[in-house]
Amino acid sequence: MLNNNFNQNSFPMFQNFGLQKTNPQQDNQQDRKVFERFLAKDNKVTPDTPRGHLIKETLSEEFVSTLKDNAKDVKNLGVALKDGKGTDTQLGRLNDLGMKIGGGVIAGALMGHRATTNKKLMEGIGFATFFSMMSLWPKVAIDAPTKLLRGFNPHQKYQDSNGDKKPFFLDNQYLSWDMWSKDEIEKIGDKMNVPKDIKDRDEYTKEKMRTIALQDNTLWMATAGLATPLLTSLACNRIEEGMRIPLAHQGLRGLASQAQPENTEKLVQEALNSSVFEANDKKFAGIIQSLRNGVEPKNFTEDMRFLFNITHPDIAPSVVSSKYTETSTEMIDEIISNARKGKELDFTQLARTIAKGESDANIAKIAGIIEDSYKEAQAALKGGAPDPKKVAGSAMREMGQQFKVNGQLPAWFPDSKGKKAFMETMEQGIQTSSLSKKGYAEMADQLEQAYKGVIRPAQARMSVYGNQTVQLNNIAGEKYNLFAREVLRCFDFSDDEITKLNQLQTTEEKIGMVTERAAKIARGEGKKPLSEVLSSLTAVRDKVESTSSSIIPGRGEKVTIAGVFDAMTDNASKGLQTIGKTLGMDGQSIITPETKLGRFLSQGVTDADKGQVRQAVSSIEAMVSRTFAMFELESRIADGSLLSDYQENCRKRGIPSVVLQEGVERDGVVATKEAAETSLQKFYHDCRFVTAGSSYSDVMNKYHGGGNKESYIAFLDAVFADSSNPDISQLNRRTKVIAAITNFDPNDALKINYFDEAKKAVKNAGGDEKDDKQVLTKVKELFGLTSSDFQQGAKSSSTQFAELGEATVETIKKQADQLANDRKWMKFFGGATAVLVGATLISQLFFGKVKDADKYQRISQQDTFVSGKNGK
Amino acid sequence: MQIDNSKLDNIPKNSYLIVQNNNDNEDHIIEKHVTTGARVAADQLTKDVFTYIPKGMSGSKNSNFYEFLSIGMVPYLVGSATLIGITNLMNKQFGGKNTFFANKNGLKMGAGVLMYAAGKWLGQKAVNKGVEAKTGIDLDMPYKKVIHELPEGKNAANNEAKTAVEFHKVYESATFPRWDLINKQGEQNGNRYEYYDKMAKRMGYKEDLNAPDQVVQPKIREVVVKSNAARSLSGYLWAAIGVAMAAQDSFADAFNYNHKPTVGQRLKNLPGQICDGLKNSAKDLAKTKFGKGMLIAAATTTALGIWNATRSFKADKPETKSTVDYKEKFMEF
Repeated sequence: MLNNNFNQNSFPMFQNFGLQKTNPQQDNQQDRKVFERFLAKDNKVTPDTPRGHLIKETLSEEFVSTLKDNAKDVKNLGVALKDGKGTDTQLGRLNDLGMKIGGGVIAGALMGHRATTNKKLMEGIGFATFFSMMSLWPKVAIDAPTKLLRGFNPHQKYQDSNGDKKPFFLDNQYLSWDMWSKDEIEKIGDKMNVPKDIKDRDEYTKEKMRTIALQDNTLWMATAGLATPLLTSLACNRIEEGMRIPLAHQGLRGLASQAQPENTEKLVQEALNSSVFEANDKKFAGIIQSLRNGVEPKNFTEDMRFLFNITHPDIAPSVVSSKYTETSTEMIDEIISNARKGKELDFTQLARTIAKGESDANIAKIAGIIEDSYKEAQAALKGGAPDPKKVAGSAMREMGQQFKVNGQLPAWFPDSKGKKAFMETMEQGIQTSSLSKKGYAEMADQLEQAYKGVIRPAQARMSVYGNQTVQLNNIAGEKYNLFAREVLRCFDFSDDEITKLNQLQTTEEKIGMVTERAAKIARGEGKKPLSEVLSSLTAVRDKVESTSSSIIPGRGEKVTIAGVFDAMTDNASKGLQTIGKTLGMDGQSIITPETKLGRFLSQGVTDADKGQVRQAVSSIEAMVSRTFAMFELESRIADGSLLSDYQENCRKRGIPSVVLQEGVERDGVVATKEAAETSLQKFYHDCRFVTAGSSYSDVMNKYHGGGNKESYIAFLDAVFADSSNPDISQLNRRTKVIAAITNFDPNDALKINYFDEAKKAVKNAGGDEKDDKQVLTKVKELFGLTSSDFQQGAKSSSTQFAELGEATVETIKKQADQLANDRKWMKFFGGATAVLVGATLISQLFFGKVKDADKYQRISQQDTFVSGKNGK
Repeated sequence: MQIDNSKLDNIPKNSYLIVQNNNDNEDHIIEKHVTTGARVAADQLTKDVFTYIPKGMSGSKNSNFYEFLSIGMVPYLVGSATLIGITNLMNKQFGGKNTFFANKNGLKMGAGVLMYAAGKWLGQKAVNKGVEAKTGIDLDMPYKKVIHELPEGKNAANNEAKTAVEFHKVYESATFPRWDLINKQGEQNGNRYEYYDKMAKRMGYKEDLNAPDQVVQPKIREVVVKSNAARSLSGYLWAAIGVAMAAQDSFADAFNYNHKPTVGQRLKNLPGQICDGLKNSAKDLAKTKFGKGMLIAAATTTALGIWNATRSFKADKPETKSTVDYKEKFMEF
């Protein structure tokens, strides 16, 4: 066969008389060769020796040559762009190279778009997985079965004489069979059970191979569009699930390093150069410019409220408590009014302009009228510059009334014709006279000084702090999800029940279904006994403690979510305090240490503002604890102690029980059996709403209604009383202590550590840290708090319990939703993938039927020539 | 030219293109209209499903490389549909808030897939149009290929064969452009070198050359290779911009409704929404450093690609024309 890509060197005659000469030396040698050949009468035209061959590589060799080929592609791209040279195969590979580059750019763009590292990484992994699945699918679903069944790889590659690598079966009508050895073909024929008595057995085998390879290629094209996205999404689902916690730990370690004071300082400097500050600085410069020109800009107060707010959402996401947001407006208004203070109000000048020639007394009177109108309008607006038109209008009305003598107005007061011009003079005057130009310039200086010296640095700190808390919140959120799933598992819901739970909408239904299951477990009718469920919950709680921290590799240092949060808060707090200390030192007059902002800064981040993140941290533990509380209540319903405790409380406090007794008269009605049972179930329902649903308002109305505090206390005390079952009671005592401690003092809302510190102390003293009694004694010893102290805080412990974390049913419901949705998704798309894989594999069993097979003659005894060594 | 009428009967009538009858039984360049590309794609897609895939699955020896490349479109389309399906099909089942967020993501994904295709098409088309504007070479010049297939299976028994029609581009192969078809078209117009003469003029030769094909062909081949490489980069960079734009929140927000719209409202508002979405997301993208970089990189790549592909197309040396003075007597050295 003639080599397809002929080389010009094999046509010496043409070369000799070629028009283009590139290298004279080479050409001389060529010429000489040709001349010698001519003399030897050996100048005939011959084809090149073909250098094409099949590529047979091991996996590692294939990997290396893939890298080499990619490098070659880059080189070829250069050649193609520079010299405009390249074969079709090379150009085709350039297209793939472009696709990969584009894919990388897309991953980069989407990564930049995602907020968290976790999601950023998933974008990158998503693309890598997509490309892997694209090449993996034909290898696994088509090549491997064919190799197994038929003995050859339908994607066998070869290198042509030009050095280009291509799949052998790429073009169904151009197959260079001379690259295969006879032995190989025969072996494949044997594997495919090609009858041995066919005359052209090898040709038949090749035809069969061609048929199969074509069918395989077509099948690949027909299935790849479905398979690649399906497999990618299935794989990414798994990968994302598996990476969540390691990534959360990674993020935690990163934050720990960020929270080092020197690193925080760097971040603060970076924040000052960010685009948010750029935009704000520009806006502020505009306002200052306008003030220096003696004009109060439009929306002055609103803009200043935005620019001087050290925690507005563009600057400090999610860190601010609602309490602070309200006070921030007050702080800024105070700054503005301080800046206005003492500036000369020049209403007299205005009065002189409009009432020319009037006596000084009258001028003073007119100035007074304008000033009053101005202040009235200002008061109505609660600060800021009022609309001059309105002020002028009301001042003119007032002047008209006061200066009218016998129905006659003074000469300077305009008639109906001159009113418009007069109004305009007044308006202009008010605009420039409320504060003199000099006063405005002074105000601008002060505001600028405050902005640069105090506001911007404080904003930068809050910005860093805010971003860090958002990241930490996300990390805590990942943990929360993980443990919530495990808590759900403790309930042993079946798949059908999860689906049913997913469909429930009302709180009533949700609480009903969850508590019904808890009650069943408490009564010992569940799949597992109560003790086993409790111990798995304990295991979850232990795991919360051990996994809420991460070890920094190399340093062996342990970082915890709470620890990182404290460090971050300390940095922010100290930074603000440092700014606070400098107040009033450099002649700064509008923000003094006595102003609201000054006090805020010197105080630093108040403990109340810390609550948000700490709640996310502590709510992981609270979630487990709440579940304990739910089981305790159910076990007390089961053994009747809840009811008896309640009746006892009512008796002690001398109030009627809401639970009716059969045959006993109440309010002139004798309770029937049904009424008694209904009232009991309603009571249980109320108790469950409190523990499982954290829904207090209905219960409050019912028991606290009419100011009957005793009734409500009797009810809550019963709900939160200890169980007679020592197992659960002991476990749950800690829940209650934590619930109480966490809410005892808002300043220490974050310090579950009371308990942890006490535990450490108990352990150091050689005591048993798991014995709650010992720990509680230590808490009293160390912090001077008794368990009754905890319960006598600003709020009752039961109310505080409601504020700790999320209602158990909500946790369960969310997880069930997630699980049910995942299952639905998996059922549909996993099922679709399974069908696709099945269809792809099975259809291959029917491949390889050679058309016109009857044309291949069988060997008869008359034949003298037989093809193939196996032919007989 | 003699027309073999018996062959004409074999040509399938389901073709989307009507061409001159006297050419219908052999390969020839076809006239290009605005819709030619779309009609060729429609023709290919229909044949992919109803002809090429069944033919390939049966292992026909008449299946060729063109058909294989043509069914390469199928995974693109099916894959896009599957990606959209994966993110959208199950959303209604999730219920409530979950459906809302799933829908938003689904919209982004679906738009991303479509904008990828649109971006790629645009980026590649821009290079071709730019090259055509500067050199006059239409890289998309289409030709119709007529294939008389080998008899096979049932047909073989009756010694019957089908005739198939394919739509190629003259410059789709950089190694073997179909110069013969260009020559043939010239011949039919009475000048074999018609095309090359035209190109030589574009290159800057003021007078007709003796052998314009030898001058023009290598130059065109160079432009074909260079623009091919430029297309590979430009197309996928614009595709990336398409995806990045679809990922902007402002894009998905443009399709929001405060109330449940009717189908009529949806259709009526859709063009406006698409325009708003594209405008806002492009603005948002340009705000980020990476986005700005992407836009600049894509635009520069396209512009440089066109410049590079066409920079050496102009005549590179002063024109020379060999002249023979017939009046001179023959001299022997």
